[in-house]
Amino acid sequence: MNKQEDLIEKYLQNRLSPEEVLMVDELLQNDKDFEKELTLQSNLKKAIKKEDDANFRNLISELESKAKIEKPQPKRSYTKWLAAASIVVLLGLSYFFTMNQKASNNELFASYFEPYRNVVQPLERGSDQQDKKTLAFLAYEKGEYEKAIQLFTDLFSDTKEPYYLFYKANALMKIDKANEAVPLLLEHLKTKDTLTEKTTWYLALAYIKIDDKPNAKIALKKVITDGTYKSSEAKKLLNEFK
Amino acid sequence: MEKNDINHLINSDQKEVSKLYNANRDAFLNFGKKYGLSYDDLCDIYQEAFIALRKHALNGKLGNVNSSLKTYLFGIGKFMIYDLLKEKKKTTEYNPSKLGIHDTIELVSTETEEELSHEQILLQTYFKKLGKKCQDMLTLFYSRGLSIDEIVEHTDYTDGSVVRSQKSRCLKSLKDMIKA
Repeated sequence: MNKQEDLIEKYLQNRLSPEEVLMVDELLQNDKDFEKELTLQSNLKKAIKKEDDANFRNLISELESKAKIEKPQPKRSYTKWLAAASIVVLLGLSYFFTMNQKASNNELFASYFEPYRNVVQPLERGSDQQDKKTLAFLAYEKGEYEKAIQLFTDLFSDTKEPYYLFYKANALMKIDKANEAVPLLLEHLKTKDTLTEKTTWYLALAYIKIDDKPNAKIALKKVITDGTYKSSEAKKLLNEFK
Repeated sequence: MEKNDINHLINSDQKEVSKLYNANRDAFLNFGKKYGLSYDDLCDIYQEAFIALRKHALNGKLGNVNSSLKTYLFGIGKFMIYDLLKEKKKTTEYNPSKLGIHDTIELVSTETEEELSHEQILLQTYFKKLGKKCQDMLTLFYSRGLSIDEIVEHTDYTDGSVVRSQKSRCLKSLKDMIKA
């Protein structure tokens, strides 16, 4: 192999030393044949890269078709309705079977549940900032839960901040509407904010309140394995709760 | 990132690429769901992201990447998701944190592809007319950037000089086609 071929080979694979770069520049200016050869092979490199890429693209497209056949898209709306329907049936059944235990579960709920404190909007005394967010958390802290719920609902639809779901659920549980709190907490669990780790605990309490024992147990066990928030309370509650 | 995985991508190793592709697909579709794109859009993006991942491997961009292949692939995917969302919304800059979407995947940008010149398209056509042996040899050298020694390792050719003469024979057949 002569020196020029060697230079072209190294040029194409970006392996030229600084001295060789100078030699290539020199040759490009003074040697028409060298320039022609280098241009040809550079073009060839681009053409072959394109072809290699097209072949890879075909491989991927085959893999994708296979994947679509093996794991078709989950039919989301259908399963959602099915899940909703089965929850309704479960609720109905558990209502009949657990009527007699209702009082004790209610007591358990009452002794463990306390609306989570406001950590989102610190309220300063004498602050004249009266925006909606402040008003909402003010109502929540003062125990005006109906008002707080209304404001949280509006704020969530405006901003989509997940923590509004969490606080609205807390307020609902406080005014004996745990059944409405469950879907909000489930929604909140799908998001990831600093409050999410606390959500499962409140979900467990909501299930206890509505006498959904199987789900309450699942949620409590989750709280225990997560081990980040209220796990010792969850252990205690799981023992007391029959 | 695993050196082996990078090489599987570069060599377009069918079995290994298939494993990598399927291992991350479900997780990616799940990851992308929260951006509100359809299942079909996300499947398309996953394919494109995977193809871009290989290009980064070929261009030597993956050697110094510390994150896992999955994180890097998701970073490319996320970049493409943003692109599509911007395109769909057209007027506004897309700001996912406003929608309460939080994830820690770092964006990895990709470049749009250069179109081939007229001459390059011709070369591609001639290249496809070469025999399989020549196509393989030239692909290893020009597209995958293997040195002559690496080609010896990677193939049944006995030594560097055999590889060199085979390569120049292939190049010559191609040049003959151009002249013809």
